[in-house]
Amino acid sequence: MNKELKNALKESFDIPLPTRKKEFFRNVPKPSISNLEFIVTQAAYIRKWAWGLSVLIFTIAFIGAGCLKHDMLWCISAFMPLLALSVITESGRSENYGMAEFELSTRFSLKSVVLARLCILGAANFALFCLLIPFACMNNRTGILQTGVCMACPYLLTTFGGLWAIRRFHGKESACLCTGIAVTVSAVNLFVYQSFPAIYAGQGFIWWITAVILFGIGTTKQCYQVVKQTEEFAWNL
Amino acid sequence: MSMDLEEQYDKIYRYCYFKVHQRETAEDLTQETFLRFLDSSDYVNTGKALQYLYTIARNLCVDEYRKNKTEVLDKDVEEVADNHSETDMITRISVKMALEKLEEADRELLLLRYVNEVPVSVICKLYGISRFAVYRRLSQAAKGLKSKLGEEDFT
Repeated sequence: MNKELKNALKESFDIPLPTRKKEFFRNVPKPSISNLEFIVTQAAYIRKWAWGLSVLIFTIAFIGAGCLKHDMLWCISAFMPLLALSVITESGRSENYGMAEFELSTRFSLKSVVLARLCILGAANFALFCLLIPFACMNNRTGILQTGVCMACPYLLTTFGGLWAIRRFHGKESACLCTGIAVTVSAVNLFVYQSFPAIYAGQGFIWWITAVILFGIGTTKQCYQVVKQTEEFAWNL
Repeated sequence: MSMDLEEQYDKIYRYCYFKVHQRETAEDLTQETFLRFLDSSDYVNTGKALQYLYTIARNLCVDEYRKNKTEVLDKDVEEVADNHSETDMITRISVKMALEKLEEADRELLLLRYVNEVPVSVICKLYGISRFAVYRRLSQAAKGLKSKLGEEDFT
């Protein structure tokens, strides 16, 4: 059917305009959404590189420990700060791009959006953690608990430092600072592992546990503060 | 599927008007369609929203027809006969007359596909027929319309 006939067809189906449309859409009840559906929709907005990084770490661990039979604990724990970086940058993304106020005015509050994304990435990272522990245990003498603690420590330290940075600094400054923190923690982790392997060998295990507990408490507190701070944006509108 | 409900309101209203030929009734049916659609959140995010919307509208129109079996007149047709040039008006009237000579089912199909721009996949599911059958019926309807109009006007 040619364009002219299509247009003529549209014209011939011309009808009187509806008179109650605006009033209807003003009063119509909006469709509700369950918490699970909301979380699923937010998962789609998380940047691809965050998922890509998880896949990359898993692939390296699988090839290094599973196929090449190398000790991969040092490598996996050095990647942990970068994994934490993906969580931190996601929580401050809307503010970095100047979208925080816009998001606050939409269907879901910024607080819900940030919380949902932190939960999704936190759960995904925890699952990755569980998958990586067996690979990190291979080809060395560390036990499962010790390996888990050695991996969790740099992750929690970076998350704690990064979340603190995004609360104190804004825009690109905070993004650069978070990257700096992640790279520093990763480098220090590598340096300590290469220079003082005894620290990873079991003698200093109590210190690792203490550090993980402290950083865990600190990270939880920072998460709470970040979510609370997003509420304060509402007062600045 | 993300869908502009306000845009769909106009299209569903046009569809209902085509079925019942009365402005007030068409608008009541349109609003009822949207209320039922929004009430059932299952379909809203499953990618079948448009199909569901048209199914509700069609069922409501059928119910309305059964309730008032008397033939309704096209009362509001004069109200739209403004803001058109003379040539447009002549074309429109000739297409309208040609459409009236077509079967109701063909008219409905042309309205859905070419006026409301409903995707073929949705029409398939709406009528419960294959994609091939939709294309064949569309082609037959268009051919019928052209023959009623006289080919030379729109080639």
